[in-house]
Amino acid sequence: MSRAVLKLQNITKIYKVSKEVEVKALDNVTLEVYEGEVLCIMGPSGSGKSTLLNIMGTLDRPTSGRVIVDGVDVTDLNEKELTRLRCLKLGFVFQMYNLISTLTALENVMLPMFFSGRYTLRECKERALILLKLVGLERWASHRPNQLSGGQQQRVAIARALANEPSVILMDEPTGAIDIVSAAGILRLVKCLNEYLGVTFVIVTHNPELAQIAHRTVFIRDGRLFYSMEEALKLRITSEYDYSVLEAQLKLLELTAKGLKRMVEEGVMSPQEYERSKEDILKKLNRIKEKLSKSDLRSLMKKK
Amino acid sequence: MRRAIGLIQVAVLFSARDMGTRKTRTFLTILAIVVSVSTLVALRTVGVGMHAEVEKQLRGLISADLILLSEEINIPESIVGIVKQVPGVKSVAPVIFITGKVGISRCYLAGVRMEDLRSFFNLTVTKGRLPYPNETDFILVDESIYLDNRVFLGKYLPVKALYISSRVEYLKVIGVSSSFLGIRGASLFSGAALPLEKLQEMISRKGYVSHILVKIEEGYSLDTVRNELKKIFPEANIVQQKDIFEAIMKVLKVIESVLMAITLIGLLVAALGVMNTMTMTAREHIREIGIMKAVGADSTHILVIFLTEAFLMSVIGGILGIIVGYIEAHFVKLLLLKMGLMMDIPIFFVPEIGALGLFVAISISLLSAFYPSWSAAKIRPLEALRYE
Ligand SMILES: Nc1ncnc2c1ncn2[C@@H]1O[C@H](COP(=O)(O)OP(=O)(O)OP(=O)(O)O)[C@@H](O)[C@H]1O
Ligand SMILES: [Mg+2]
Repeated sequence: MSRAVLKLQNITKIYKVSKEVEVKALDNVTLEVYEGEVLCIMGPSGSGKSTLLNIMGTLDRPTSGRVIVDGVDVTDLNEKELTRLRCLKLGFVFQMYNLISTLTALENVMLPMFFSGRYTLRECKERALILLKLVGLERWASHRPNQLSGGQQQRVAIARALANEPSVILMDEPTGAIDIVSAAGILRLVKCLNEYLGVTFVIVTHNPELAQIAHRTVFIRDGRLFYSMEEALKLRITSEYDYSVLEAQLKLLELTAKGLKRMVEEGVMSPQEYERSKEDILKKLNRIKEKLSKSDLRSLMKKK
Repeated sequence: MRRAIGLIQVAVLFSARDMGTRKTRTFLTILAIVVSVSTLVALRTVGVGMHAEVEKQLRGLISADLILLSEEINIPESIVGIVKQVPGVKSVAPVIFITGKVGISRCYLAGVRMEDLRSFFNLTVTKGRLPYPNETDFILVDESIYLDNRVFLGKYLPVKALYISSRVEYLKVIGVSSSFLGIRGASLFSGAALPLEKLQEMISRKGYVSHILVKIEEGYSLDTVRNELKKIFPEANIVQQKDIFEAIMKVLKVIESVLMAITLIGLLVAALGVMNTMTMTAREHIREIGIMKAVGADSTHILVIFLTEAFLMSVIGGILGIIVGYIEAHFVKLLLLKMGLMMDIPIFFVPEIGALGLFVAISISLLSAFYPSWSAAKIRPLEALRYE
């Protein structure tokens, strides 16, 4: 197996929402990203994918665990050192709002090279043009982001991520906000860049097609990492959720009925209209009754 | 080095694009700077012009090196002879300066001997003539008296000194001097000259004067002659003409400081304006700050980028402010003329004032942009990216 460009060791991330409430977004995650691979991270919404990617990209700090980039432990670097690291070793592509709206496509691509301080203005421009050509957008170099389609913007973002030849490019749902055709284009681009240039990608996605081009796919559920879909699905799925839906519906109906009653009393609503609405509510109540015949449901219904 | 240059390039690029995109905001910020800088420049320019003009007029006022003076009209005219004997004294003129009225104008009256008129008073006669030898019932007035009274040469005007007992005398207006006894036209210093004997007669102080003007021989030091005079007249109050200038200049300085205070309030308003727009600018750019930080910009970069934008706006605003201010100075001058100051203030471009205007523009913008830019710059990248 080839060298690991990025390593996460026993990463746990806990968000403190308030004094009492804590969210464990990542739970003891260990993961290696190898040079030249396309690694996909999949999982349901809120499972911790973005959190994982942000920690990989040093945009966020783990509560515990180590982050190792190119063999160097970067967990405890200060903000300035991390900035330098991100500039030279990591490329980012986010779901949207990726580009700086006042700058042209070319200038957006030039940005990381400017910040690196490695190139002259002329070199930046020359490189940026080549990079735009690489993603098939050389004709759009002087366009502003709002003059480009979502897919084109995402290509510019990829060109920008490539600018300083990073060790790995991190993408958070790169096709999440664009149409299928454009998404297919992005897919192809990623594949080409990986195959011909050997660029390493870590991609968070819901898009199964994108997962198809991946060498490896890992799954996240409730902050825990799994190496196969089956493992991930083994997590207990409860019917509690269904019940809570019905309960919420019941509460809503109750409040609606209360409101109708008041409107009739105040004469805002005609009695005929009230009868019609009442029938409607009763229909909905019957539906709930059918679905659930639990004893505690009765007690709630009596109020109506 | 390369990084610093790169940073400046990004900063200039970003600022230029941002200013171009958000035209209204940029315009309003620059306008705030222009208004305050131009006020500063206009008031300073008028102030300097006024200063220069007053100084010029004062120089032409009386050409005496030393002045013996008294609050009262109680210096015996006879001491002129004694003063003349003091080594180094070239010529001596006994004079009465007293406030009075000529026609409807309140002014200074100067009682002068005929022979001293030319040598001690720098008269620039614009209309009429100087008195003939031995002419007695005449008066020379300055332009404001002449205009205020709507008289003609050769007409008689009632003249009265403000003194315990002064009678009214009708004197013939024979000439008008543009620079007589004071700043041209400024009613504050307006004045008229009449024969010394006539004035003494009018106030019944024959043989007494209020001032003795002394001119010094070339090659003698002012202090030596002054000390010599002090020996002879230990009680006398002897001043140099320079001292009088300085006293008047001090008054001018006070007026100028009041103008400066007004300008400072203007500058404060501009600073608040810049701070407001910079805070807005920073807010609008939070997401972009997040993106820039993700692709390798640190807090210093962000700070420099925003300060560059403030700097560029202040330079543009500053330069426009200087130009507008210079034009405005002409309007201030017109306004002062309308308000009754009949002084012909010369308006000329003073490089130091331009530099001051630019400096002020740049420093208020940078100072007021610093806090909002700094707080935007130190936001963590992830927070910035999440910002809606
Ligand atoms: N800044 C934060 N403060 C508190 N909780 C957070 C924060 N960011 C994320 N979380 C929580 O952490 C968990 C994981 O969030 P994350 O954004 O990583 O999910 P995700 O897998 O990317 O979801 P999605 O597919 O919807 O983008 C969620 O429960 C979320 O509510
Ligand atoms: Mg996410």
